[in-house]
Amino acid sequence: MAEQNLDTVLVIGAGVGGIKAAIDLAERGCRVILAESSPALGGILSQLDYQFPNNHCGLCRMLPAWERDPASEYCMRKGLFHRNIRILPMTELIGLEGGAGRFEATLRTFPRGVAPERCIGCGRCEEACPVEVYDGFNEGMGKRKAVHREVPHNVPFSYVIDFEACTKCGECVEACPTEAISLEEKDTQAVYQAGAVILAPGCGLYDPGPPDAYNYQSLPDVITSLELERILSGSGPTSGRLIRPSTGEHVRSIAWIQCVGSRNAGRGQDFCSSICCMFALKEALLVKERSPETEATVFYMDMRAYGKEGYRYHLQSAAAGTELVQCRVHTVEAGPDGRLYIRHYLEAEGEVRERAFDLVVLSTGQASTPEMKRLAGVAGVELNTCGFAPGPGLRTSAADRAGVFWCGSATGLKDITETVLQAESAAAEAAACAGVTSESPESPSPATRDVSREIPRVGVLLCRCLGGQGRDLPWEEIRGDIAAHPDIVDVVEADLLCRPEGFDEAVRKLGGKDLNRLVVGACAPYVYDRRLRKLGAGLGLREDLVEVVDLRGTGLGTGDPREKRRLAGSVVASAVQKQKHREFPGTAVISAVRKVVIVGGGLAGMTAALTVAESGIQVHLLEKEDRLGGETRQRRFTLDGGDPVSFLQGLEERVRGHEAIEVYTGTELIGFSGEPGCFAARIQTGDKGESLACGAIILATGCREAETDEYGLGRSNRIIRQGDLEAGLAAGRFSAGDLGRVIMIQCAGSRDPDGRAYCSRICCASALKNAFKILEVNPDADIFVLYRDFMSYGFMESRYRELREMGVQFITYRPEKKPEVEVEGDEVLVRFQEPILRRTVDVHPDLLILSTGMEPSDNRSLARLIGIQLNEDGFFQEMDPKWRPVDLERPGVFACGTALSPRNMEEAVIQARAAAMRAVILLGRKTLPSSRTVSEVRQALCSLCETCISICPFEARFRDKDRIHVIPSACQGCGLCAAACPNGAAWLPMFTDRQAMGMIEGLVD
Amino acid sequence: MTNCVRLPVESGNINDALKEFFSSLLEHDVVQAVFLPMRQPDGVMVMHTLVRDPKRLEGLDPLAPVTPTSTARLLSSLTFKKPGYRIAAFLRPCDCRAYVELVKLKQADREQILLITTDCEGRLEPRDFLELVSEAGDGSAMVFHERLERDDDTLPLVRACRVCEHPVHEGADIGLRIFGSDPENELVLCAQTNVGTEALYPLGLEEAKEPEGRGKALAEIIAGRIAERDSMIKEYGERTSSFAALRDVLKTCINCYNCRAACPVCYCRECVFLTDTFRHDPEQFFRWAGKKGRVKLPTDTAFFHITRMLHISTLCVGCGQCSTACPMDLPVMELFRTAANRTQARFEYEPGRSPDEPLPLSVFEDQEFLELTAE
Repeated sequence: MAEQNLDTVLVIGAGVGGIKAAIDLAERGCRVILAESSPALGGILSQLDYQFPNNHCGLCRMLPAWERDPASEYCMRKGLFHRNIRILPMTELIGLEGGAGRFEATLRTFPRGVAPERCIGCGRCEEACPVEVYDGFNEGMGKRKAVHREVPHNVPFSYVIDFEACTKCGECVEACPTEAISLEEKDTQAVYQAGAVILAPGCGLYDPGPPDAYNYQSLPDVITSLELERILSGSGPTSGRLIRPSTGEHVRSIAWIQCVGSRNAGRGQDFCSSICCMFALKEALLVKERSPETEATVFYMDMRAYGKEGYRYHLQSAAAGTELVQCRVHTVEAGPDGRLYIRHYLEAEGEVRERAFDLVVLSTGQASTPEMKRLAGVAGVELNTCGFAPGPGLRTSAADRAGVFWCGSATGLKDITETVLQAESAAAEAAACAGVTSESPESPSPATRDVSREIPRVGVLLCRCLGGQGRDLPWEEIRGDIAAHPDIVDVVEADLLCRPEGFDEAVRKLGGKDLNRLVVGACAPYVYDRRLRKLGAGLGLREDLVEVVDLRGTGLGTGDPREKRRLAGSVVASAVQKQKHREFPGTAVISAVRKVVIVGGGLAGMTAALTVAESGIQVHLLEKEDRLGGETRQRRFTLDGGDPVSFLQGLEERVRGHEAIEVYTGTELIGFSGEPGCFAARIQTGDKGESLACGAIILATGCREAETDEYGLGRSNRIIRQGDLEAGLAAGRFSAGDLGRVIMIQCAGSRDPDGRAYCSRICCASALKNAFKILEVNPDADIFVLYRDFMSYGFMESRYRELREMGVQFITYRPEKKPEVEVEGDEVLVRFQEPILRRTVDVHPDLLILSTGMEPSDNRSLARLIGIQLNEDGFFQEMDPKWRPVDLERPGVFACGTALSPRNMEEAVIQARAAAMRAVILLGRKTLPSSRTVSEVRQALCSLCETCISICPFEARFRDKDRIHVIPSACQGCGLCAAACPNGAAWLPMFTDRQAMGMIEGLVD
Repeated sequence: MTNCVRLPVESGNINDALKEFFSSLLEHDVVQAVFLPMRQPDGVMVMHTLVRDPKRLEGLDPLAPVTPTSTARLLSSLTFKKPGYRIAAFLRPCDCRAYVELVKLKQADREQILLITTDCEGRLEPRDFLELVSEAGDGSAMVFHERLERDDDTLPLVRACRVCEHPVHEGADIGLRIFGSDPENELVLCAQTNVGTEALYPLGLEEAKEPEGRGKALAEIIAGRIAERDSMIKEYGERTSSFAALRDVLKTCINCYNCRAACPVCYCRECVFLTDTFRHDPEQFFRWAGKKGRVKLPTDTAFFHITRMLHISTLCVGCGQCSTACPMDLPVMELFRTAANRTQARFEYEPGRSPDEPLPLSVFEDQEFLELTAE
C-alpha cells in the first residue's frame, strides 16, 4: 500500500544535508519522509563537537526560527522533532519507480530489536548483554555492547540491537522492564509516494589501511583526523584528554599529514577533498587551546583554506602557533624511542628531512562507498568516474533523472556552509518538483477553551512506573503531601503513561474535574513531553497548560524513602507554581506580504527571482544598470566546458517572460523600513520614485574583478587581468604568436592582510580554464603559473593535474618573496625563484596575467539603509556563516551571490536558490505566527534605557520615539532582555519572575 | 596654551566671585541656564536651582558642604529628553560620574550640558550642615574648608566622602581647583575638555596656571582615602561573609526603599519590589510561617538589597546618598561599595570614567567567565 500524498518529498540520509533539506521542506509546507540507514540522526556531525569559525557546535542554529515551541526543538544533537517530518531510522531505499511528481519509493526498514515507544532508556539490557564489540561512534576506540545507544547523547535515548554482533542469548529480553525487546523481528518493506527525492547519503572517508606508507594499521599512534576529533571530545574514549593511544602519555608534539587518500590519481582518487585543510587547521587550534605547549605541525602540499573566511582562519591557526610545512611526505616510521618519524621532502630547499612526533594524524579525505553506488543504481542515476554524484552544474542540481536531487558530501566532501546551501537549493527544487506552491498546510489545532480568566485549578497526574524504578516509592505519602497544596484540585495516579493503555486510563481518571492546569510527573520528559502534553486535549486544555516534570531524573532512584518523598513533592510543587503564576499573552500575528524585492539582476539575482516566482510569490527585481546580467556577462567559458553566455541569455529570457517577475532596470533602492513579512521598499528609477511593499528582500549586488597596484598593472599593455584575458581569448584577439610565453601570477593583491585579506576562490580555476584556452590557440605555449597555494578544490583537481601533465609549469612563491615585475619599454620582465634549479630566473613573457580576484560591489550605503553589517572586506555579514549562510542580521533580509562571499557561477546559483528558499519559507504562510515565548514591554515600567536593545542577539527590539517595540517574528524568546531589564519592563510572558520565584520556592520546600 | 582662568576673590567671599562667573556665562549666552546649589529663601538649606535670569543668582553657594539629594538625578530630570537649552551644571565629582552613567542609560543628555565640577573635599549630612550654618552662617563653605585644612577631626564628614578615591572628575568640561590652591584670594577654573575651553574663551577672564601644589595634595588625599576605603571593604567583607551575617547587618531594615529612591543610578521608573511581582498572596505568608514556624515582616529584605546590588553595583559611584536617606542608619553605602569593589573589578569597569565605555551588561563577550562556562 502506498502511503502519503504527492506533495511529499523523500529525503534519503539524515546527515546535515538531509536534515537541512528536510527542515526547509517541512517549513515550506511539504510533508517529508526522512529515511536514514543508521539508527541515529546527524551523520558525521554527531561525532564532531567543535566547528570553525568559533569552535562551537552550533548545530541548533539550523533549526527553524519560526514557531520553535510547537516543534519543542532546541538541540539537534538530541534529536529532531517536526510535525511535518516523519523520520524512518534504519531504513534504506531499495526501489524507485515512476518519475518527477509521481515517484513510488520502496523502503526497507531493518529491525531495531528494541521498540522505541516502549523503551524507557533504563539501560538494564545493556548491563545484561554479554557481547562486546568495538564502538563505531568513537571510531573503534573503546567498546560497546551488542545492545547499545548509537549516539550516546541522542534523545530519545532508546536502545538498538546490533544484530550482526547479537548472539540472541535473550538476556536483554529478560532484563527489560517494559517488554520492549524482541529478537525475532524481521525486515519490513513499505511503498511511499513522493513528488521528489533528495539523495543525501553522505560519502565515506578514505581508509588509510595497507598498503600505505604511514603504517596506520601497525602503529597505534598514527590515527585519522576523525579519530583525533573523538579523542578531543568530552564524550570520546579519553574524555577529551589529549593522550597517545599507545602509552596513555600526554601528547607533546602532534603532526597532521594532509591529502591522505586525496590528490592521488594513481589510486583513482583524482580529486581534492576540499575540507581537510580547514579541518586540520581547526584541530590544530583545538590542540593549541587545550595544550598550548604541545607542538602542532601540519605537513601539506597546498593549504586550501579558500573562500571568504578561510585565509583568516589559516592565519589565526598559524598565529596560535601551528607550524605549517609545505612539503611532500614520504613515510611515517616508528623510531627506537617509540616516537614517530616523518620523512618529508621540502621542495623549496630540495632536501629530505626527518622529524619526530608523539602523535601523527592522517587527514583522510573523501571516498566513494558501496552505499552511494547502490543508491545511484536504485535511483537510476550515474556517478562520476571517482564514484561520486554529479555536481549540480549550471543547469540545475538535478541528477540524470528528473525529480531526483543530490546534495551534501555525496557530491564530494563539503563543509557545513556548502552542504547547507546545497541542501536548501535542492529543497527549493524538490518543492517545485513536488508541486508545492500553495500556502503551508496548517495542522488543525484541537478545540481548547480559554482559561485565562479562571482561578487556577491544577490537577496532578503521577506515573508510578518511572522506568521500573518507581515501584518502591511511598506513593500514598507523596500523594498526600502534594494534595495538601491549596491550588491542587486532585492528584491522580497511573501506570505506564508511555503506553496507550496507561494514557487512556489517565484521561478517564482526569475527566470531569474541571481542571485548567495539569502537572504530569513521569520519566524522561524529553521522550514523552510532547505525547503527554496531548493529555490536555482530552481536557480541552492547550498543550502549554500541561507541564511535564521528570520524577525519575531527579534522583528518585537512589536515596532513602523519606528523601524520595521530599524530592517528588518539591519537584511537583515547583511545576504547580510555574503553572499557577503563568500569564496568558495574546499571540501576535502579522499578515505576510507575499512579495519579494531582489536587489541586483545578475546571475544570482535572476536565479533567486526565478526560484521565488516559481513558488507562486511575486518578485520585484531591481537592477542598477540598464541591462540584466551583471558581472557574469564577462564570463565567456567555464573550466568544465559550460557556455555561460547562452546560459545567461536563457536565464534572462525566463526571467523576463515570467508573469510573477517585474524587472526594474536603472533602478536603485533608496529606502527600507518595516519588519519581516511586512517591509516597505522605496525605489528610484531616474527621477521617478516609487514605494513597493514586500515581505522579504534578497540582496544580490554582486562583485567586480579587483584592481591591484602590484606587478605593474596598467603600465604595459602586456600586463592584464584574468578577466581581460578571457574576453580577449573569446573575441579571438590573441594569435598564437601573442601567446608564446605567458606568465600568470596568482593572489595578486589577494590573501594579503594589508590588502584583500580573503581568498577569492575563483582565480585558480580562472587560471586553469584560461591556460586550457591558451593551449587551444597555441599548443606550444610556455605557461608559467606562479602561485602560493593552488586552490583547485574538489574535482577541479583533475584539471589541474592535466595541465601539469601538459607541461604548464606551476611554481610556488612565498608572500615574503613575491615575483618581481619590471616594465622595460615594450618588454616586461618577471623575476622569480625557480625551485628545481633553486635560483632566480628572468623571464620576458608575451603576456603577464594577474589573478586579482574579485571584490564585492560597494555596499556601504545599502548596508546602512537596511541596517545590516558588512564584514571587514565589504561582503555582507551572514547571521551565521555556517548554519544560516544566506540570512543576514536583520530578519527577513537575505543575500546571495558574490556580494555575500566569493564563489563561482555554479556555487552562486546554488546560493541564490538557497536564499530564495529562505524567503519563500518566510512568506509561505498567510500569516507569520510568532512563537508563544515572545518578549514583551511593560511600557509603564520602561525607563527607555535601551539595554534590552543592545543585548538582543536577534535584532528583535527597537525604539520608536518613546516606546520600545518587539518584532515578534524575530524574537526567539531567549530571555536576555528580561534578564537585563532591572524591573521587568522587558519580560517573557511564559517565564515571569513570579513563576521563577514560585518554582524555586517549590524546590526548596 | 593654558586652559585655566582665575577669579579674584575679595575679602574671602568666594560666592561673589562665582556669582560673577555664572552670570557672565549667561550674559555671554554661553549657556541659557545654570543649575547649581543655592541657599533657599529661608537662608538655611542649600538646594540645586535652575536659573535663567543672571540677576537672580543671589544666594548661590556652590561649595556649601551639603548635597541633600542626588544632583545627577535632578539634572537628568532636566535632560532625559533633549532640553533645547544649553545648561551649565555644577556637580560634585560623584554626581558627575553618576550623570555619565545616566547618559549611558539614555536617562540624560550630555551634549547640551556644560558640566562644571570642583575638587571635592566632601560633604556633611544635612543635619550636620544645618548645625554648621547655625555657627558660620553664609560663610559655611569657607569655614568647612578651613577646618579641613586644619585637620579638624570633629568635622563629621560623611563616610562615603572619607572613603572616596575620586575627589576630582576629569571628564567634566570645567574643574574648579581647590586642592593646593588659595581660595581665600583667588579661584582657579580649568577647562578639561574642548567644550570647556570654548566656554571659557568668550568670558575674557584673566589666564592662570594650575595651582602648583595641587598634584601633590591630590595624591595625598587619594592615598589616604584609598587606605580608608580598603579598611572599610575589609571590615564589611568580614561582616557579610555569610548570608546569616548579611541578614544580621540588615536586621533593622524597614523596606522603605529610600535608599533606592536616593540612588542616582537606580533609574527604574518603578522598582520591581513595588510591583505585583512582590505583592504576595496573603496565603504565601502563612505558607512561609508554616514552613519554619514563624516569619518576620516585612519579608524580602535581603532579597531587595541583593537584587539592587545585582542590578547596579557595577554602576555604583559611591556617593553615599543611600546611607544619607536611610532612616535606620544602615550601612548601605558600605555594603554597596564592598560588593561593587568586586563586581566592578570583575568587568574592569569604572563607572563614570567615560561616556564611551559601554555598560557591562550591554556587551556580549564570546569568551567570558570561562572558569564558569567552559567544560
